[in-house]
Amino acid sequence: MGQLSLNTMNRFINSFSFAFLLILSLASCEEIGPNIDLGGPGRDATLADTTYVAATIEAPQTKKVLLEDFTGVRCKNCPLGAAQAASLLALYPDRLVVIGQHSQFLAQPYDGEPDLRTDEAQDLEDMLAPVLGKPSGSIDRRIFPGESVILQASINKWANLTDQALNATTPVNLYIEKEWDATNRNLKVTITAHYTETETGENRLSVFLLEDNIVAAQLQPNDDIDSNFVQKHVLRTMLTRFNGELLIGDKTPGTVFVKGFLLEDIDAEFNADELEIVATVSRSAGSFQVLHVAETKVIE
Amino acid sequence: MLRFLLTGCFILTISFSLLAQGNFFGGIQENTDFFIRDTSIGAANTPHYDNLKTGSNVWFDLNYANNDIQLDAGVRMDFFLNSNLHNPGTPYTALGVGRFYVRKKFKDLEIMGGHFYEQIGTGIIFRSYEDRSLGIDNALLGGHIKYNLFDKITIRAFAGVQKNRLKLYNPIIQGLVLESEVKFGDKVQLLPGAGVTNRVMDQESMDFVVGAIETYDTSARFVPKYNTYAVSVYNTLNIGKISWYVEAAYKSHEAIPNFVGTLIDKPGNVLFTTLTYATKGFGITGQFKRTENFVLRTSPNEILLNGMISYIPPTAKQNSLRLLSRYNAASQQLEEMSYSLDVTITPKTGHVLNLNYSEVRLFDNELLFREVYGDWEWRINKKFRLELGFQYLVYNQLFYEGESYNGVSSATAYTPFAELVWKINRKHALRFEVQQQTNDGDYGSWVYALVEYSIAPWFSIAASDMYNYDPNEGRVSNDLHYYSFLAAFRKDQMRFSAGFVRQVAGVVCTGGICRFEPAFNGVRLTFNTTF
Repeated sequence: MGQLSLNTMNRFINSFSFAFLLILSLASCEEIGPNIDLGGPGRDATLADTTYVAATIEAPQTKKVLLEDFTGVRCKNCPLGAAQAASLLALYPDRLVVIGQHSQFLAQPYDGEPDLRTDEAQDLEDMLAPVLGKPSGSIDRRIFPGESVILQASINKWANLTDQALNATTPVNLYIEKEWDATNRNLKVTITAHYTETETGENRLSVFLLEDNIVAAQLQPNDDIDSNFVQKHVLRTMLTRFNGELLIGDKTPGTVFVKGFLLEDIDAEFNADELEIVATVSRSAGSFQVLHVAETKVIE
Repeated sequence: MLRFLLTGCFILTISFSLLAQGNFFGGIQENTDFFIRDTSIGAANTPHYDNLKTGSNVWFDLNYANNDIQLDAGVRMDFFLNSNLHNPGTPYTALGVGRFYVRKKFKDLEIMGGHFYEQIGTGIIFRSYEDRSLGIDNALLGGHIKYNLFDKITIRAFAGVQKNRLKLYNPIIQGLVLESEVKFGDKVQLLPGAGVTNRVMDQESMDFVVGAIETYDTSARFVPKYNTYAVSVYNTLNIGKISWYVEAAYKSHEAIPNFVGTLIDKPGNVLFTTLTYATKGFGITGQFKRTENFVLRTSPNEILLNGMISYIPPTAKQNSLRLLSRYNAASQQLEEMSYSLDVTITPKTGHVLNLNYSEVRLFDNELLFREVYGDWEWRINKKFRLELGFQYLVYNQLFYEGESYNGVSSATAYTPFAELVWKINRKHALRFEVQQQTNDGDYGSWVYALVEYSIAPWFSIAASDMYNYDPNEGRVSNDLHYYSFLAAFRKDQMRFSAGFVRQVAGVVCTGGICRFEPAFNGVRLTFNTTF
């Protein structure tokens, strides 16, 4: 056995060991997995959870558009976004649904003020990223022709993109039924999704609970803090996971999904008279496009 | 402006002078199928037979190499025009750059950018290669470096994304390989190597995985991994007339589809070894392979031949004769125990005896594939060469293809065969093939005959017929002939062939990688040349 061979062998082993230690150290870095619904304790058996094929296929509803305004109380330009959303809502009161998404960035509450931030808003912002700044608006979670992102930081584009979204049709009709137990502050919501066109990809059902007209201090474009600012359509929590619940099965014309949700002991700070329920059906995997949206007040 | 023109002229002059020092070379390959509808063999009811009538594939590559500056580069244009290649039965049309690369050497370092092919060990943890007959081209687009660390240690590292025909898969693949050669005296040689690969799934692919997992019962759900790592250690030991190759591979747990396509979270491993002894007049090779949950693709969303990162070598014999190659043991990724023994004996000059035994089983011992093969080659004299042989084969068609006929899940086939080559003179030759297969399953029993007349080196013509003389009524009702006529012309580097082909549906394999090809009826033209 020659000395040269032994040296070569040792060098190989050393190099090999070093490289593998490097790789193994990389491999040992535990990654953060994807957001996935592992099921939890399971659905309350008393809640609706059924799928059937209707004898009659309904006529399609008029498409409604979802505008999600990613905002924050310490964001000086966010009142401009809120104003733009309000203008569009005034223009299309029956066609547009707005959600104020208070994700973490520039959203830390001022002392003594309500905390409007939610984990769901942050998860949605991460899902719809990239975020170029606040305010950022998502219109039906679509990337429109000529655009490269979902979240539009230029509020001047919101009107045009909303117009484009309003021209779309929806393949699914949505209905919300609710039962409000004022004594225990329990909210039971039943969503019915009736497909009028075939959807081949995955669809998800999301149910949001919003609170309208929350007074909370808000930084203004002139750097003043308006302590009487009225925050509109603020996401308080969700009755589904942030990215919705998968609608499992074929989605052909006439297919109906009925899903029940229960939210118990709702925070006493939430003003029940201002609570709103919003339901959406959206695509997932490859596109997050919102296909349709419905809304109703908890107490009408 | 003048400065700009002068600079341009200077660059052009330098470029031309550099190019003039090197060599250009390349080639073109063209295959065109004309589809003729024939419902009797199932060559119908696809767009090719019903509407399109033709399908073509063209590869044209042009390369440049300059040894003076240690640089080479190349580009290949791919043209798929109603192609039937990638997914037979579904026409595919796309045109574009199928490959480009630039490679430069700096003493011990070689760097390459563009599309590259690479293999670690036998390919278990990574193999990117091109097999045009199966429509495989899983080159990576990215960067590749190779460095000779010491005299006998080579390091290769690469990163990129895999080709998806003329597009790309999004997941990122990276790898590192170390290989060496160590000699102990004159008779002992070690060729050790080790490699690691990492695949990072993109968000869109992951969204599909998550969507699938969320449809399962909660007890079957799990958090899938973006990253998967695969490690392989291998070595060839040569001691005199003995050569022993062994490779062990492991991959970290990730979402993989099980036998019914449900995603499960499992790690995988493969052990593969080959032991060979060869001396004058005698050679013996034994192979063993154990595979468990080694599914390694760009993402678990890919199936069939799509997005393959791993190549698991076969142990079973690779046959080429028509009836003998009807059934192949496609390498399994989820579960397989296989071994083979191959013996070659040359008792005296002009006589060669080949014997082979192969077997593939699942872990519960269920038999998937068994082949007993023997042939005798006899060079009778300068004019005649005769080969006689026999193959006994058991093929679990229900497992490999999901089909069984008349309740026969495993087809058992007995196939005697003979080949006679008559060298009429220095240029003219006749070749005859006869094969007969008795088969209790699948299509039933066959007989095949071929006669080929060739004038070396420029012309050959052949006619053959594969006759399903005893059809299995569970699958086919009539005894059908599958005849072919082929003429090939060769001049210098150019080869042209034209033939009428009537081909039965079946599984076509190359190196353990298989796919189902539907029946074909029509005319096939091929042209290829190099320059």
